[in-house]
Amino acid sequence: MEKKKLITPWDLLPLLALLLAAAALFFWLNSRPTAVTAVVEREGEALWTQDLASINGPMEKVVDGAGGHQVTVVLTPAGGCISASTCPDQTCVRTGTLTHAGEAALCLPARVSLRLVGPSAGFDAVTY
Amino acid sequence: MKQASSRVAFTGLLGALALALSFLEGLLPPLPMLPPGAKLGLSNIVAMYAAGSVGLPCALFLAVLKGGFALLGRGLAAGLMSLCGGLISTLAMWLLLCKTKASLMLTGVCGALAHNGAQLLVAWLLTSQAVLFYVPALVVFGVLTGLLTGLVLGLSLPPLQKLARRRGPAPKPRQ
Repeated sequence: MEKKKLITPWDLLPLLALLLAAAALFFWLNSRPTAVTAVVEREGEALWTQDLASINGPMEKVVDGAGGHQVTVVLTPAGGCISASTCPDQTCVRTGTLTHAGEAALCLPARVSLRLVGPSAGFDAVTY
Repeated sequence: MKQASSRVAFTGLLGALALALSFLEGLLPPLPMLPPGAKLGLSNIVAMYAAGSVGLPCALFLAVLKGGFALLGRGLAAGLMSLCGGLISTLAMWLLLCKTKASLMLTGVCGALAHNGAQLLVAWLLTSQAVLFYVPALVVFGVLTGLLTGLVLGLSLPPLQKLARRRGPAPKPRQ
């Protein structure tokens, strides 16, 4: 390994391509419309699907997750967040408030996720 | 016999170093710019050194050891993610270091991306497609931490080799 170079000019090409692809994906995700539906899932199974427009004030629900963990999800007309969790790492709580479609908060120890979904692309007509 | 015991002792030393670095970065407060749960991956420096200098079995053992400690300390989900991320990234780094002419920094980046990719896949299997939201942030963060891993290893290698020459021959890589 002592003969290995630290970096070569050829390495910059794939690295730059990766960063550009990630930046494009990031801007695409952030340009997505405001969320209209919140979906709370446990182990991939939808437990609670809520139309955000129909909420008047903050709505809170405690979800029983895997391993005896409990996750508190708060939804508002503007979005939602995981406000509390009994999991040890608290990564889901630190994710903060989600407002755009495609954003998500995960609680891995409890296998619970909250994700926001945008308006579905409707079709005017289907032709063959 | 002496060679075998030397290898066991050296692997143990690297394992302790990887766990200590992992523990240390767990003490760092989460930075506001980073995606939640993202870590610097300092123990990848040890994994990369082991994969390139000591051999694949030793490097894979370190990944299993780290996964075992994550399982005991942080639960099944963290253990599975650490184990899968560690094994895949170790394999990727070993392939690049021992079978190609890839540079240290490119190897570090590929190792970090393989680690993040394997962890995302496990998270997807455990929860839902919601994990895809983290892909862009983890790619950018993986590139940056991978460059750091390669840089630190590149700077540490000359003094390590100097030390090894003074202390005697290092265990031969077993592949």
